[in-house]
Amino acid sequence: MLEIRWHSRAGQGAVTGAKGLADVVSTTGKHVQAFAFYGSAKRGAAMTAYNRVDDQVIMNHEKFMAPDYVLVIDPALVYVADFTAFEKPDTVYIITTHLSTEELVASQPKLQGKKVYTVDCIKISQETIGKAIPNTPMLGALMKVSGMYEMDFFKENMIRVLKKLPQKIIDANMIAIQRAYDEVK
Amino acid sequence: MMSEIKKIKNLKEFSTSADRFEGANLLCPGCAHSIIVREVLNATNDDLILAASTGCLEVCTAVYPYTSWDASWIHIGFENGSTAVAGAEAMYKALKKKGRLKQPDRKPKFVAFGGDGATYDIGFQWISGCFERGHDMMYVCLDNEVYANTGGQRSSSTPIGSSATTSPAGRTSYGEKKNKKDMMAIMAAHGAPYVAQVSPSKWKDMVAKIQKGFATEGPVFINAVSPCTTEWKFSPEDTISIADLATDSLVFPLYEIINGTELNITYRPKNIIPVRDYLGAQGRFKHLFTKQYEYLIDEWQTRVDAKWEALQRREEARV
Amino acid sequence: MAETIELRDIEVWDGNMAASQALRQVQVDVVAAYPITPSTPIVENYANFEANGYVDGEFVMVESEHAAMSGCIGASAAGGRVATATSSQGFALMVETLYSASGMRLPIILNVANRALGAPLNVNGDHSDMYLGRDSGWIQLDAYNPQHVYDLNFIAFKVAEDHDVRLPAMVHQDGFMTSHTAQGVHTMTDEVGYGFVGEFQPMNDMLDLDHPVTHGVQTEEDWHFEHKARQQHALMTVALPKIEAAFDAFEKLTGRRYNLVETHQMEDAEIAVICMGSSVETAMEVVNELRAQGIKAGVVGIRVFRPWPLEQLAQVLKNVKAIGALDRSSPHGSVGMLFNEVAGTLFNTDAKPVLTNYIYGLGGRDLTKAHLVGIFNDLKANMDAGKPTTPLQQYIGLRGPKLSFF
Repeated sequence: MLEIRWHSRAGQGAVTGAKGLADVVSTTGKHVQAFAFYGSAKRGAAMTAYNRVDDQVIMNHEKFMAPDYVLVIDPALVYVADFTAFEKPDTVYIITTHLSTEELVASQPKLQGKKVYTVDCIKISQETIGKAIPNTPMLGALMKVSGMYEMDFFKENMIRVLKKLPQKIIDANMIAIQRAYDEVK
Repeated sequence: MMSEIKKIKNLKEFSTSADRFEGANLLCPGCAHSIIVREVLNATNDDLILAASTGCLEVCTAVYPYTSWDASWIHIGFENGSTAVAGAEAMYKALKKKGRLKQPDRKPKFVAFGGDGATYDIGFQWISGCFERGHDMMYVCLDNEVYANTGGQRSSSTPIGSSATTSPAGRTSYGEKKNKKDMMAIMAAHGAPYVAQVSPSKWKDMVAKIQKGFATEGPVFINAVSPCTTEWKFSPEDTISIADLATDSLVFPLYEIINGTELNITYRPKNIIPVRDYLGAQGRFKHLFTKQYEYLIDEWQTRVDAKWEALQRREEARV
Repeated sequence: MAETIELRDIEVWDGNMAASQALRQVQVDVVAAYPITPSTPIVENYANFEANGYVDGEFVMVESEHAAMSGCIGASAAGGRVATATSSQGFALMVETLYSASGMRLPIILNVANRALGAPLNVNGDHSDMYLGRDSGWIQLDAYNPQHVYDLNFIAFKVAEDHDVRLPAMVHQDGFMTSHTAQGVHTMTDEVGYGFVGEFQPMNDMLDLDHPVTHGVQTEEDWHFEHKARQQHALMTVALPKIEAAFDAFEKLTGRRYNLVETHQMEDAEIAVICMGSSVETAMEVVNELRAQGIKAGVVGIRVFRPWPLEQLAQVLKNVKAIGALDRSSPHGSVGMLFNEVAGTLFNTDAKPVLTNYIYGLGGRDLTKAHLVGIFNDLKANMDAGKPTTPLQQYIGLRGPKLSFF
């Protein structure tokens, strides 16, 4: 079982990202779950979303998760959210930030000694999609760090997932995914 | 089949025409509800899908294993007769679109009946919703200004000075303290294509309005004065004359409002009767005829005059 | 004619989308609805289908849940396929009309994304609304994941609309934990899905203008009891076999099997939990882990909540030594509903297991695998002692000091 926790602000697309990932993974015959913690909070509130991936049917519906990957798509959340909750010794962190990995770890001691990757999904999405929607670039970074799928396969499936959007936006998302894949460190 | 407007020449023909509401019902002798319902149903030869809210009409006409209705009829609860018939109307549209109507060449009329409690009070939201959505239906309020079915409690249609069981007249009270809600204005404000006030005693005016309502696309609101022999406290044989007093004193002026803007007064009494005469004919206002509360009769007259004046001004201004 | 949608064999849908797609595929004639979290997307998705020509029935957005069910009742009595969705406070507002719908024998389908009832206001999942409906005369089917939501909708229509049944049915799913959790859902084509339910066959339809009918009559002491008895008769003796027949037919069509009472590792189970909703599956996973340690644990999931599958449940529980009944609704003043139902189910049988009650998950509070392990530990101790070693009713996952009663 592979478990992923997203830290996001409501409106940044973590739920869409988690569902998109689940959709792509599902096409490979694996079983998936994508869910989120909801409250009545509006746009901008800190929230979490989750993925489970397994070769077996996923029966576990507990919200509790000791994640293999923690994806933080809002740069400020590493300072205000409990993003290391229930971490495992080998939990991998992929964090959206304009800082370098070293600078980030220096600014947030909780990350010392952890497997930390950084990428500026906010900047990438602003420059490609034109809006700070860091969810799809984060998936690009995840593909690179996890080696889950080949980029071509992943992008091809993301095009299908995003098919209701205008072509221009889909194209921009593909560029964003590729850039994050290339830029994550 | 295009629906034709039914021609009715005289009262005799009217009272003996197609009978889809049986005289065999449990309503009080002299109840105006049955007269109003027959007048509504007799105004058309078209098929009818009917609904009733909980109330006198409902409990007296569909007591298992009997029914007084020879047209499809539904009752759910006190507040939702409007929405019940709106749901049926939606199903009609759906089945028409899908080609599944059993009699595809017949277009039924959808009519909901409710008392003033079901209309002015507990069912108000449902009616408002139906009118906002624009269902092709007619809503008829049988307005007897009181919860008659449960023994005479006040509703927001109960007029000032009326003695009701929950607003009784007594040594320190003249009865109901609040003025009747202006349901006609509220329904017209929904932009309803047709809103009209009717009296069963003025049957030609009433049939004309019901037929106009049936010919109208969209939601139609009819407020019918329904003198209640039991709760208004008059003899059962006086129902029609009390209704005449209501219209001729202008306590219940007869008018219509088209598209929320065009107001037409449809009946101008030749001899306007003092409100005092209307009040005096009913036991529910008996206590007003005492020294202590007589001033209220004058206030009544002033209020009725002002309303009549306002209606005429609105009619003239076409707003 | 509505356009069809080409679905993939497996779509990644949350429970709400699964419900919406089922409603689209059975081509509901009238949906009268009012949005409320967490069932709102069911209605939104349906509105989208309508806006894009994938459904050609009437979609009526009304002004309250009470009006939604009122409109559904009018539409159903008029003679066609009718469905809606709700949750929580909206369900509570509907309650008056739920009794009308079942008493008038109208086959309306209500999707319920289960949610807590305020106060305090809470949008998350528990079973308070589902429990509130349990005496309303509706068939109540319970889904544990989005696949079940999809499948049970077809089964609900098939059973409810059967002329021998003519009772409304609810399809329950856990608010958020199922309604907003995306998982793989095996789909049917539009043609196959519609074919399973078939064309709506009207009965006592108001729109049959040559045969007027009176719906929603008055009965007092003379006939009311007989009406209610007949309604109960249909629910108890007709609905259950029809549900089983629909389960059989559905299995034949899709290979997916449903049962009145779902069991996991119950053949030789000594201790078992009984619960509903997504917790059933979490408990199954915990049982797999306990079995690996040699503990003979099992899970019983209630699939058909109303009518209560008393005989089937008694059969399943006949050899169990200790049972934990897990209620996701506060019983306020008594033991939980499942505790009472299980006790009543077993009381006149030879089985005399130790029965205890756990209240969990109120307002969306997580039921973790660790909680379940703790419960099974309790049950094992109860079995070994041959009597309760804990209070009869415990609150699980509550912060602060432990809370228990009886």
